[in-house]
Amino acid sequence: TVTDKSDGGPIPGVSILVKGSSIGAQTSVDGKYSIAAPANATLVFKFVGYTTKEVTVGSASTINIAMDQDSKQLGEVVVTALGISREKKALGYSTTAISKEELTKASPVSMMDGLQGKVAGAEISSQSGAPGASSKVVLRGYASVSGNNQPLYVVDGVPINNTASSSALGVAAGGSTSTSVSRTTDFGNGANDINPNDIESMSILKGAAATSLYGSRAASGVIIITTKSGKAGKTKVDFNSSSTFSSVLFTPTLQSLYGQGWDGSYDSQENGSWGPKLDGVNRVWGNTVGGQRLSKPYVANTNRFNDFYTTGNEFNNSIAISGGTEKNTFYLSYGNVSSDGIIPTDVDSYNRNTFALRGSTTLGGLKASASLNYVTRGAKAVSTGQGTNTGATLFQELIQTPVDININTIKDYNNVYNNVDNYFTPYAQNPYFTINENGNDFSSERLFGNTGLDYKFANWISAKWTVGFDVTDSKLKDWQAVAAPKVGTPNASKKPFVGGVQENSDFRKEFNSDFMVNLDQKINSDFAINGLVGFNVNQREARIVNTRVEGLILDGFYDLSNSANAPASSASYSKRRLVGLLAQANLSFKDYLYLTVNARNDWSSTLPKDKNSFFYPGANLGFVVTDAFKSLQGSTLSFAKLRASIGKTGNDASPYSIANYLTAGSAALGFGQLNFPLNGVGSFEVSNQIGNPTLRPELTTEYELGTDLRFFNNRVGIDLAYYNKTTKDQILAVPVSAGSGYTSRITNFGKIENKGVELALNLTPIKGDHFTWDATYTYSKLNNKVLELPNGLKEVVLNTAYGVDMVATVGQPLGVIKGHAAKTNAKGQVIVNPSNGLPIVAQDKVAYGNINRKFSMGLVNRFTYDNWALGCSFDFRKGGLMYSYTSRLNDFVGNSVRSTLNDRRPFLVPNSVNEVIGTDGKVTGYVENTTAINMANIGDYFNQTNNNSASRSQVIDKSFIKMRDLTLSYQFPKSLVGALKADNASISLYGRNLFVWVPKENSFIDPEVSTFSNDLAGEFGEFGGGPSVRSYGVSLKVGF
Amino acid sequence: ALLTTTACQDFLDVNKDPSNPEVGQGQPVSVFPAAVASTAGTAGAQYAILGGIWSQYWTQSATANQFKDIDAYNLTASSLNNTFDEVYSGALNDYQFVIKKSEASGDWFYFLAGTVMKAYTLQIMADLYDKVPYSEAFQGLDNLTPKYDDGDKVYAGLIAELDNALSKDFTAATNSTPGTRDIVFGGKVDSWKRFANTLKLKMYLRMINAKPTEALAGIQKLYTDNVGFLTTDAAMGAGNFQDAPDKSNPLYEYNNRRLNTTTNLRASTTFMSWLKANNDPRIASVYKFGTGATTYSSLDQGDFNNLQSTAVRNAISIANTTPLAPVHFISTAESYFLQAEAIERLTPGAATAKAAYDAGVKAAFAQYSLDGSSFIAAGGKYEYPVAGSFEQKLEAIITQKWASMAGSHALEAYFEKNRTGYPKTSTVYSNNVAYIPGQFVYPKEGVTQGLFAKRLIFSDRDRQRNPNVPAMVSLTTKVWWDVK
Repeated sequence: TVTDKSDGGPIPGVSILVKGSSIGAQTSVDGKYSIAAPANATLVFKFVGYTTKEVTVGSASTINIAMDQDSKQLGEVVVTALGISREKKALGYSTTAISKEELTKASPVSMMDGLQGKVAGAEISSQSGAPGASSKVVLRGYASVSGNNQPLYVVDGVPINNTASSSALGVAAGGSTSTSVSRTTDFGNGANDINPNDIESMSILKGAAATSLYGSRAASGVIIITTKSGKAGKTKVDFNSSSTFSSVLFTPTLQSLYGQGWDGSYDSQENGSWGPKLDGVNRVWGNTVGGQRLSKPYVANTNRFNDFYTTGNEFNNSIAISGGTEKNTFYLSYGNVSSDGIIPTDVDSYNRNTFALRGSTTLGGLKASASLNYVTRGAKAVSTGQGTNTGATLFQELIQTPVDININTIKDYNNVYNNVDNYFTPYAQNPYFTINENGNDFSSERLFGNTGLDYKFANWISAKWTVGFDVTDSKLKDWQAVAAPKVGTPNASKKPFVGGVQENSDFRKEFNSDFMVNLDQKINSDFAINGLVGFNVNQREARIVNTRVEGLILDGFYDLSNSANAPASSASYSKRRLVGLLAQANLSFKDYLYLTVNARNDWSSTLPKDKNSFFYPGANLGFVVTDAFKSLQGSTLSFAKLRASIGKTGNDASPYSIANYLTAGSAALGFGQLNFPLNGVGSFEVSNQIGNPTLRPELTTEYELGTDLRFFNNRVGIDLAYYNKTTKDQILAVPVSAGSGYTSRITNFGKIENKGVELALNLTPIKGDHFTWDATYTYSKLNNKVLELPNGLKEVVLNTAYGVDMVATVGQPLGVIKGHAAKTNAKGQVIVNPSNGLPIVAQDKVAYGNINRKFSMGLVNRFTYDNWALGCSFDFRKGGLMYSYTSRLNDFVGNSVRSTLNDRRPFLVPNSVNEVIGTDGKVTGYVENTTAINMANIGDYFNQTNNNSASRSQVIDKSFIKMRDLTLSYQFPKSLVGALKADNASISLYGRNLFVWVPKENSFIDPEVSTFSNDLAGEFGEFGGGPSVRSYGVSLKVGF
Repeated sequence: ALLTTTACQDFLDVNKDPSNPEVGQGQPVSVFPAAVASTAGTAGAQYAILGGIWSQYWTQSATANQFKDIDAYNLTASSLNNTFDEVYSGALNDYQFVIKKSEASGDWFYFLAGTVMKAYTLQIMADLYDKVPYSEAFQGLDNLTPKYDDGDKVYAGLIAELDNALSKDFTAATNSTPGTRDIVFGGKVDSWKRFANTLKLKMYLRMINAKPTEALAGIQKLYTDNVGFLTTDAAMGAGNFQDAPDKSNPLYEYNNRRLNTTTNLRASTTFMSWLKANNDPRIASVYKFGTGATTYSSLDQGDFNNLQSTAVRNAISIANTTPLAPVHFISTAESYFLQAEAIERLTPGAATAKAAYDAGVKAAFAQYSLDGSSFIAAGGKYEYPVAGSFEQKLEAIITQKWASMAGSHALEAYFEKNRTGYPKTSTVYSNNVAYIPGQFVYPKEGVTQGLFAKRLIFSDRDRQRNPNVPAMVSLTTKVWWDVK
């Protein structure tokens, strides 16, 4: 019997060979084998994932062996493109394989959440601390300005829908390029529907050589997920249960010197802290209600956020039953996540149920398999942005509370002093009203899976046909309550929130069919060749219907009928198809030189009919030096491999990009719009975008060089990769001069280069019988550059807010952040307005920096002592700028620490002058400025509307170091679990994102937070985003 | 080879948008209304706010922020870029579509309507920016970087286009009869001709100081040909709007429904002091009381950083913008005031000048359902200075024109102030006892050291996209016709 040394279980399918002969055998389902071997022969036991073992037969008739799992993953099998398992040793490109243990260590809800900082070359973030928030995964940098840089997720060989279910007001879901600042809500992305406990393994394919078999869908990398399936043998039951609690991690730091007021004077109606110095003296505050006024001491309450936020919780339970026989296997699982975030009430909650059913059966050479997953998701999420006329948004209102107001005193938002009529300020809404009265309900149902038929014609040829599908139907209802102060009340001057209801229905369907023929031939003892040819058909459809109405007539009733206004509706459909032919050949020579060449040709429906065919080749070479030159191998150098690869991938266009269209009549006003029909007259107008009948696909060419080195009996491992990837012919609606009659045209343009280095260092500093210390260090550095833009175009604005732009400029990294600067003279002196001392704004904006990291690094440590394991990981991302509206608003209301500049006494802008203007209006010279910014204008100095150049300080360094997880787990000894009739059991304590360190200038927001999207547009920063959270919990895993 | 077969290409033939019609399906009758709404939505909203502040009807509230940059003349090359884009892509390009399509089919009704609206809209842009894309504009992919033409060339071109459109056969069977789908005149071709001629008159008068000979000859020809001028409003009128989201008067929609503060536009002392000095009842139409106030009060122009108490600041009267107010392209009153000035220039002292002026004042009051007869009667506050000099008459005409435009039509008053110098500019600030009501003052927080704003700065967004954008010109540099 062949067993696994670590758990004692039988290993089926182990190949056994009599060394130096062709006599062979295989173990059965229960690990048994028999072989007719001559005496004194040597048996070689080989199985993927285990160290090959040689045993001399001698005279024994029964040889039981226990095989060692290959801890250093030499001979490790990774799943590559199209679900093909290959020995990692044979690959000529870098891949990162993630084990199920790594994925579920800290019981994350989303599979990507456990991986932050652990994969070199992958930037993984969560959009916010809210339950179910979207994950952002960017592999090897932003390459596409079109805004789609998320990798392709492939589950069991079938691509799945990873659309982000975000909602921007009036805009249907899926806005990967959302730039809305009004009301945005994030309900998570499609890949987060997968239960991490169902995953057997994950491979992250970063480079084009690894992904080019996916052709026009793989430009941003591919994440290959293999789910668990049943294994022959005893029926197993696995149970996981975890309970997690969360609290607020990062909130703005407030000044504690000055209290409510404006322009230096106390004003109990103000929404800011521009009042006098806090003196602790009792003052009346708020409005007079029924002749009465409240009073309170004029002191800082900087505990605001801890008082406001509550403890969140998350319960994650799953059970899986699996098993089978030699011929049939099954796997059945159910998982439930139920969580409520840190915002009071359940306005930030997330519920997910996942059902998975997989089975396979074998009949002679035919293997049939099927996988079915059903996911329901229900969520409520707090909207971000600055709100609209229908209702306010939470974070915007929370910030506009003077520092001396104790948040607990306004909690009862129905209290006469805190209600809509009498709330202390007419400039903001009671945040408790916002969360209790405005809300949303998101729900989605999703069914995805595949069926496969696999037939082995002969040892060297087999065919496989897989049909996969992914259907998601989601619904969103979003509402805001009427908040209209009554005439004659203190807040009567406030503009009422008219209330509104929005219904959104979003249906997506993806169908995928792959037919593949696999060939495998050993030519002679040195050469082997295997390969495949395949045919792929893919179709993606979407149907989105959005209806909203504003101006509600009945309070507290949320339905489209509840308004005097007609609802505004829109519908959009899209359908795209892709056909691909592909082939791959793997050649190996003497088990140390491996060459793979592959090619794919795609035909896409979104490209012009006669030019919709595109070719994506790739090749990679792996050379195992230590196998070629055995003499090099020794106690110092255990393993050395060199890799080289080159590949091409692409990105086709969005549907309907090649023609010119009419759009429903509408006129943009600056704020708001006029929408037809207008009083019985309808209209269509010429779209402001010009289509392009000559589009080509976006192409990425990448080459990669790398090495995999192991030293000291595999105790030290170095995996180093250098890549150079150039993406050209990007497809984008490029802005054009409005003088042409249009504002954008769809075109192929530009060239963007991403060059980088990735290093993964695996160390086992201590390896003893009881105690082991493993560590992994990763480092990535990326240089990104825009090489070309189309003729005449100096820059392309990618996102913008309050005068700050994120742009693509030739010769610069993608995502330069630019904004206003103070006007200066030739000597660099700041020109100020002599009437108020405020800097005058320069006509042209200047570059502040860019969004890109200088480098990222991660450190993972794992200590094991017998059954105990302690692990922790750190994620360090250095450099890059982001726009922060939270910073802007804190400055505006005088709550930020920097607003106490010069103790709020009048000051002269340093090195400032006034222009001397001649009679002809021209500047004739400069005189020293003597106008100090007085108390009335200090607020304006920090108000970006008045002092445009203040936007520089509202663009902040987004560097951070986070402690991503800290886990302590204990594996119960066999003796104990055996008594419970269990096979294994473990308990873990864990913490996620326990600590964060940021540069001093960022006293506002967790730099990972973004409100724009989980793609390039989101790198711009945040607009009224929420806080991040730290979590801690306990989990129990039991297997029977 | 298999995949290049028809079957495969048919399988891939799904790239037709079910939600938007292709451009070839567009007709003038369906495209024209959206274009008119874009003109009304820009000239009548963002530019009306700019014009209304720069014409000193309104000033930025001291309890809000939104329009500080306009009131302080603190605009940059990135200010109002969106509006520039909306005019060109949302209005002008659609007019061009209407013009081309109707010319091809001999639909002279839409050829004229499209040409008039294009000329009206482009003339505003030329007046705001001095140089704008025109001769090479609206060509889509054929010219993505159109040059900017000088304002006078734009004028000459537009007048020629108007003449060409007016010369067509409006009785031909190929003409459309759109009825109410013509949201300006309900399908009346005669009104479109009058609009065309009144617009020509306005453009000739606008260039009167820069090109007097050419302008006078043009005006003379209009009178020789005895063309009709507007006697009704050329407007996107009350009937086109509803008091509903996305459906109302654009200034109201922008300033009241969509901004989070509806009180940014407060009464400027400049206009309010004039209304008060003349006891003009229009005060109650153009302003409404501030919070808790029962009398009209105003803020000196640009004094938004004063340290008055919040209660005083909140009590200042607010611009009275309403959801059903029309957006005047050329109002009846304006038509009469243009005629009055033209007559005084052609035939000084002609009695028809006074008649036109009187009709203008009455029409201006009638905009608010008020009767202005007593104001123009002998001894009335606004009696026409029959015996006065030409300049006194011009001052009366332009001042009354200014008084008629507080609202969606405010931009026009700003242009006329720059052209004629009326109302006059005060030598003291409006809080000074020596201040004469109604005279313009330099805004308190202005950043241009006493120089008034004379134009907009070329869009830096366009500069990024079009190398033919002229070199930067400051906000205080006069445009081509501003030479008085």
